[in-house]
Amino acid sequence: MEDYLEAIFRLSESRRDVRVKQIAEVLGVSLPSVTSALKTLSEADLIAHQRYGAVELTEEGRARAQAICSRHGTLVRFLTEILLVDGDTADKEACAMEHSVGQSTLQRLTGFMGAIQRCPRHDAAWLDRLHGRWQGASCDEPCEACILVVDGLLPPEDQCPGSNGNGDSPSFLMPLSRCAPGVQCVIRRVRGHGPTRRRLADMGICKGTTVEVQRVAPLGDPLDVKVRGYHLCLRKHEASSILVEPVQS
Amino acid sequence: MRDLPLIAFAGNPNSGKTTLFNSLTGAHQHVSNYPGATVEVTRATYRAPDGEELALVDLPGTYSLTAYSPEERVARKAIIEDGPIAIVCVLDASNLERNLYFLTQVLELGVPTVAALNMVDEAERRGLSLDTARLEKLLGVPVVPTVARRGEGVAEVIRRARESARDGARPKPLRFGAHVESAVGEVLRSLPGTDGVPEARRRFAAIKLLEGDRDMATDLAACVPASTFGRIAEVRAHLEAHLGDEAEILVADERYGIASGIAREVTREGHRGRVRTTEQIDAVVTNRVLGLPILVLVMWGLFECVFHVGAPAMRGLESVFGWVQGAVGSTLPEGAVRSLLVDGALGGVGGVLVFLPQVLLLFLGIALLEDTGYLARAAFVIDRVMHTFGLHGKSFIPMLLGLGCSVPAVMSARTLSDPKDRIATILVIPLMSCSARLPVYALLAGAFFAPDRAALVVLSLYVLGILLAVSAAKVFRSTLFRGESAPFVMELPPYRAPTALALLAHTWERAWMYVQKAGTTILAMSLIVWAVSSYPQPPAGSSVPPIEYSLAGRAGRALEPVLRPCGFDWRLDVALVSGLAAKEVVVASLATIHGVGSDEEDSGTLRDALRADRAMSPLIAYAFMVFVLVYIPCVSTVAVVWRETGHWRWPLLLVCYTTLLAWCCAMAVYQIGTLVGL
Repeated sequence: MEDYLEAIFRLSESRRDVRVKQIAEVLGVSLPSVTSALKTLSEADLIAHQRYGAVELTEEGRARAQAICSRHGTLVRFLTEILLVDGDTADKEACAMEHSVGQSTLQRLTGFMGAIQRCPRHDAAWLDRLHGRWQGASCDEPCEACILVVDGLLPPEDQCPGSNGNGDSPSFLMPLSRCAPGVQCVIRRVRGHGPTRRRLADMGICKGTTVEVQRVAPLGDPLDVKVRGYHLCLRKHEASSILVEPVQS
Repeated sequence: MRDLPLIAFAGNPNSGKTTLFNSLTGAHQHVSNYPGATVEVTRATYRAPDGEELALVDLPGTYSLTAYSPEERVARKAIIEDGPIAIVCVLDASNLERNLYFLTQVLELGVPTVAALNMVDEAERRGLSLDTARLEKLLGVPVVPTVARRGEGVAEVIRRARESARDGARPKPLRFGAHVESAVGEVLRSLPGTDGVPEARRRFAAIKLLEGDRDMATDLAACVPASTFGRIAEVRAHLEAHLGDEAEILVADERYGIASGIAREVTREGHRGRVRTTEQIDAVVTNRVLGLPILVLVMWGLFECVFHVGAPAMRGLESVFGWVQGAVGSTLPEGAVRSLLVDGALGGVGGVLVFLPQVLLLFLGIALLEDTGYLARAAFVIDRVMHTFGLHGKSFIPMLLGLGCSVPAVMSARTLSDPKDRIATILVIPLMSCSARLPVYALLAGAFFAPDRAALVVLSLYVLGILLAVSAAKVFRSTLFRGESAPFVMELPPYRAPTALALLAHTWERAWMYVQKAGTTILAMSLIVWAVSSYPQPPAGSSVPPIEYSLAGRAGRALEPVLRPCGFDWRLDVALVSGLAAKEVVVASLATIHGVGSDEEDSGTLRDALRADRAMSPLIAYAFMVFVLVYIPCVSTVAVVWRETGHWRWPLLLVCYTTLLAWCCAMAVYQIGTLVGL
C-alpha cells in the first residue's frame, strides 16, 4: 500500500495528472491491481480518485507519502553513503526495509544519519577506513593513533589506507589476495610484523614493487604471484597483508 | 679436512649452487648435520690443478641471512665460525634482483667473495644479456659467468676465489640511503673497540644490531655493555619513527633498492620473444581444472613405479636372503648360535634390506620430482587441503609415501623447513597404513569375510588410517605445535631438466642412510625380539609350544587383561608383541601360535585354523586389524623418526600415542560391535 502512496507522490511531483496507467507502469503491476489498491487507499481517505479520472492525494495522504519518501531517502542515503551499496540495489532494499523496519527504529536511523553530517569527526578518516575494510584492507593501528590524527596532534602521513595527504578523494587500496589474475599492481603498503613480514621482504615484497597475480590454485588457495621476475606462492592470508594499487596502463 | 683452507658456497635455493658444487667435487662428498642443528651441510675436498688441497662446504640455500630460520643461522654461523678463506656466492642470472639482495648480505661479512653468475645460458634464452664487466665494477668483487650444469666456468670460479683469498681482498661495502646509512654509522661508532668484533665484520654486526637481530645481540652480549645496547635501541627507534617502518624492513628495502638498481644497469632485455616455457607448462599443470587430476596421476605413477616395478627386485633379494639363511643354517650345527644368526640377525636385517630396491626407486622418483620443480607445484595445488588439517602443502608427498612404507616417508619429510610442520607430519605418517600391514589384513579379512566383503574391509582400514592421520595432525597442531605454521611463502622455480649426476647423488645419499642407520638399529632390535621370543625355552620333553614358554609368550599372557576389552586373547597379544619388530612378523606369529608350520602359512591351513579358533570372530578379527593399523610402528620407523627429529622424546611420544590410540580404537570397535550384536 505504501508503495502505491509513494509512487503516486513521486508521480505527482513531476506531472499534474496522475493516471492509473502511469502508476501501473511505475510499479510494474497490472491495471486491475492498481485499481484495487486505489480503492483501499480511497477508503482510507488517503487519495481521491474518480473512475477514469486522475488520482489525487488528500492532505493526509500527502503527509504520509512525504514521510514515506523521506524515510526512503534516509534509508537510501544510509545504504549508499555509509554501507557503499550501489544505487539500484539500495533503492530496492530501502523499499523492503521500509516495510519491515518499525517507526522508532527508522527514526533512530534518521537521527544517526543526521548526527553523522553534523559531527566534527565526519571528516575524520574513520568512514574511509570502514570502507577500506570492506574492500579488504585490514586495520590494525590502535584507534588512539587515528583519534590523534583527527585532533591534529599527529601528522596523517599514510594513516589512512590510500589517502594521499592533499585532500583528494582517497584511492582505495586492495589486498593482494583480492586482486584478479593478470592485473599489474604496485605495492603501497605491507602490514604485519615479525618473521612473516621479514620473509616477505626477503622475497622482494617491498613498497613500490610491481606484482601480478598469475593464478589461483585449483582449490582456491594459495596464489601464484609474479614478482621481480620470478614466481612466488603465497597463501591468501599472507597476501591479504599486502596492500596494492592497480597500475593504470 | 679440518686443517685445509676452506671455501664456502652460498646462494639462493634453486640457483644451481649444489650443481656447481657437485661439478667440482664429483661423488666424493660427505653429508652431515651441522653441529647443534638438524640442517645438513655437504663437505668435500677438492684438489686444485696446482696440487693444493682445499676443503669445500656447500651451505644450505637461503634467501637471506636473518636469524629466523635454522638454515639461515647455520649458513651464517658456518661462515663466521669456520673461517673460510673465500666465499663463492652463486647467483641465478635470470633472477638477478633477488639473488643480488642475498649477495649484498654476504658482502657485508667481510670475507673475500666471488660471484658465480650461474645459468647464463637460461638468461640468454630468455633474451636477457648481462654486462658482466659492469656488474663486477658495481659490486667490487669478481664475477664469473658459469653454466654449472655443463661445468663451464667452474674452474675459473675456484681460481678467482683463491686469488681473492691470497690478495686478502675484502669486499667494499655497498652504501644504503642517507638515513639508514647514518643510523648504521651511529651504531658503528657506539660499538666498542675491535676486541669483541673483528674489523672485517664490524659493519655486518652494526647492521644486524640495528635490525634487532637476536643472534647477533646474544653473540655480542659478552663484549658489548648494556648501555650500548640501549643506545642502539634508541638509534633504531629514531630511525623507525622517522621513516615509519621497522628497522629490519627498512634495511631490506634499501638492499632491494641497491639490488634492483644494479640489476637494471647491467641487464639489457633483448627480444621479448616467446612466453617462457615454464609458464606454458604451469598453465596446464596448475590449471584450475587440470591441476588436481594431474597431481593424482603423477602420484599414482610414482606409486606404481615403486611398488610394482620394485617388486621383482624385492623378490629377488628375498630369495637371496633365503638362500643365505639356508646356507648358514645347513653349515652350522643346530643350536642357539644358528638360531641367532639365521632367524635373528639374517631374518631381521634381511627383512629390512629387501626393501632396498623400492626405497631406491622411491628416492629416485622424489629426486626427479624435486629437481624438475614439479614438487613445488604439487605443494601449491594441494596446500589448501593440507592447511585445513594444520599441515603444509609439502606434507602431502611424505604422507602419501607412508601408504607404502613409513621409513622413506619419514625421511622425505625433510622438504618441510618449519620444524613444527615437519615433526607433526612425521608423527602422523605411521598412521597411514603401510604395505607391511597388508599381509595381516589379507590373512584375516580373507579368513573371516566373504571375498567381496574382504576387499571392502581392507579399504575401510586404509580410509580409517588416513582419517586418523589427518585428525591426529589437527590435534597436534592445536596442542603441542600450536601457533601459526610457517607462512606459506614458497618459490615456484622454473622447470629444469635435472642432470643425471644430481639425481643419482640425491638418491644414493638418502638410500644409503636408510641402509646404514635403519639397518644397524634393526639388527639390534631383531636380536632382542628373537631372544625374547625364543627364551626361556620349555624344559625338554614338554608338550607346551615353545612360544608360550618364552618371554614373549609370557608377555602376551601378562597383557591379556589389558587387551581383553578389545576382545583379544593372549595368543593374539603375543602376535602383537612380535609385531613390534616388523608388522609382517604378525602373520608368522599367528601361524606359530596356531601350530601351523611356516611353510604352510600361505595355504588355507592358517586361515582354517583361525576360523576354527573359538576365541576368534569376524568382529574380533576387525578389531585386531584396527589395532595392527594404529599401534606402534615397526622398529625401523621408530629408529628413523629418532634420527630425523634428533631427540628421543619424539619417538617416545610416537610409540605411546599410537599404542594408546590403537587400544582405544580397537576397544571401541569391539565393544560397540558387541553391543550392536555384530
